[in-house]
Amino acid sequence: MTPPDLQKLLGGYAAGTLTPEERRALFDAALAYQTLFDALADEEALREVLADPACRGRVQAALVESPPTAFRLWRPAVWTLAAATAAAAVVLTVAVLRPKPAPSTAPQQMAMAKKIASPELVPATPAPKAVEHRVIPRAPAGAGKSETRATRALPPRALVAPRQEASARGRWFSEPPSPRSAGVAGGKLDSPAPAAADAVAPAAKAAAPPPPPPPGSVTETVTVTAESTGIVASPSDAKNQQIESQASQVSIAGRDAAELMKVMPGMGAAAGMHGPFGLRYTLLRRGEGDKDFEVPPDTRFRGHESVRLRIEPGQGGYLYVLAGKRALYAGPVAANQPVLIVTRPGVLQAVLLPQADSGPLSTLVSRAQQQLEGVRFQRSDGTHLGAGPGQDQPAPILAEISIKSR
Amino acid sequence: MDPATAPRPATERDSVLAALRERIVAYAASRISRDAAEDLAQEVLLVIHEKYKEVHEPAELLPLSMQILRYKMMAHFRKSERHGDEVALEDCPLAADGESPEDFARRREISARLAAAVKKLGAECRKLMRLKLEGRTFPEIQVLLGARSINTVYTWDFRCRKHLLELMGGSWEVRK
Repeated sequence: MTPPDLQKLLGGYAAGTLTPEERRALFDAALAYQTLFDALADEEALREVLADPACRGRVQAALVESPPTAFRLWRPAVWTLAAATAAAAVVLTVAVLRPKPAPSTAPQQMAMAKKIASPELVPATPAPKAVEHRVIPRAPAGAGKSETRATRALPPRALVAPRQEASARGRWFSEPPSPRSAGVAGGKLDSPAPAAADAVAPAAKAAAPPPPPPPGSVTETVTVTAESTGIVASPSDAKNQQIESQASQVSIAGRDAAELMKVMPGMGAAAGMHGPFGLRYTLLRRGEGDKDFEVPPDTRFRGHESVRLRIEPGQGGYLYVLAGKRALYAGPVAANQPVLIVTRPGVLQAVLLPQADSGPLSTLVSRAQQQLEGVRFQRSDGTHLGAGPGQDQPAPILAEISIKSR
Repeated sequence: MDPATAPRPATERDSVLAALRERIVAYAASRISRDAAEDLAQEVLLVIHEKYKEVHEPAELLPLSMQILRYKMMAHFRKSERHGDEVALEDCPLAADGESPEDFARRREISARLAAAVKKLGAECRKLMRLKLEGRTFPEIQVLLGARSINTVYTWDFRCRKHLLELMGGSWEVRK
């Protein structure tokens, strides 16, 4: 081969895919020809990048992503429309098939239901009207000042309808509800435990008119909301209920983190952390026409088959995906922006941190495990870990992903 | 004649190192001053001599010298950015075993630019590059893509690489 021909091997040098014969031919020529040596030296920067597994994975992921087509541009809208249609169908089905409640023979239950409700702040002036699931500031004459104070005293989450909040939590491995939010769901803003106790109060107590509030103070009224009964709980019950909903999300989704272990939700109340903190992964297999198909997490791949692992963090942060001591990915991620990693079957460790890690990668997993010590609580089946209440810093998420081979 | 001072016969390694020195000096001289290039080549060979005595194969010596040369040149450029053009190469540290934050950041920057550039490649080039990054050799790619000869694959790869280099502004690295 002539030097111009040998220059065509430069691309293989950077990618590290030259055969031994090609390498020898290229290097011998580089020693003999200065132009080839210069080209090879300039190629060193690319070779160095592609020799890094994380950088190589990043480029591979970019290659896997196809350029945007008209369908892809419209796809989010299509999915949104499909999801909205499905949700409407479910609601209609439930509404049609739901048996009508028999005429109540136990008026006590009605009285109990009246105590299990969403909160409402009203001024000292008794409010004749109740509203479900919303805190509606009333504006009777002369009471505007005290209402403003009351609304500001509420945490922002208290202004969210309880049902919306519950469904939002169910989508992700997320932060446990704070006692305050549980208290809101139970009908009390500042003392959650009595709220749960009030929920089972006798009918006579519930039916009795409330004592008149002190002048100038702000009180709350509760209304009948069937949906809120599922949320009313003591703080610990609310926590368990949330985790149960997370687990059902896993089992329903199937492809979701069925094998996601040691999940540590971060605390959404921490500074700058306003959403659920978690991650989910999906295994993709290359099918006909170079299209990727989602496969269940227990799929067994061929030993050297390329597996595409899509990891979607629920919160922005820094993601590290390690295969032993090799880093397949290390870098910042945005919330709900999936990262695609091409890898082989095996066991991977994924660590999602709120901030970039400054230590050596070889000890990242052990350091994350140490950080999780002392803040973990365990589900009844012992599979999930989470941050306990009172934690100040968002905890890391440590997940072990096992990609099985035949 | 004293055996200790007697000239020993030149080995294949010596001849390879001599050729390497000539190439390194020419390469470096096109980017830095001639004197600095001479010193830099000497530094590279010194590292090979001190740290890699056991490496004899030309197929190993050349990529090794490329890496050391790259580290030394980057160190030189960093120094000259801080202190001006006249930099004594003795001030440049030997290639460290570990990785500096600067190296890490630079590599991440290149990979980000590379990831953005490959998205603009044509479908055939993307497919070829994907196969290469999966570790396929050119003969394997020839079979997978159904090319008539291996030279066809070489040519495809050469054109794709050239296009990619153009998309990255003519250099893999950011030239400041």
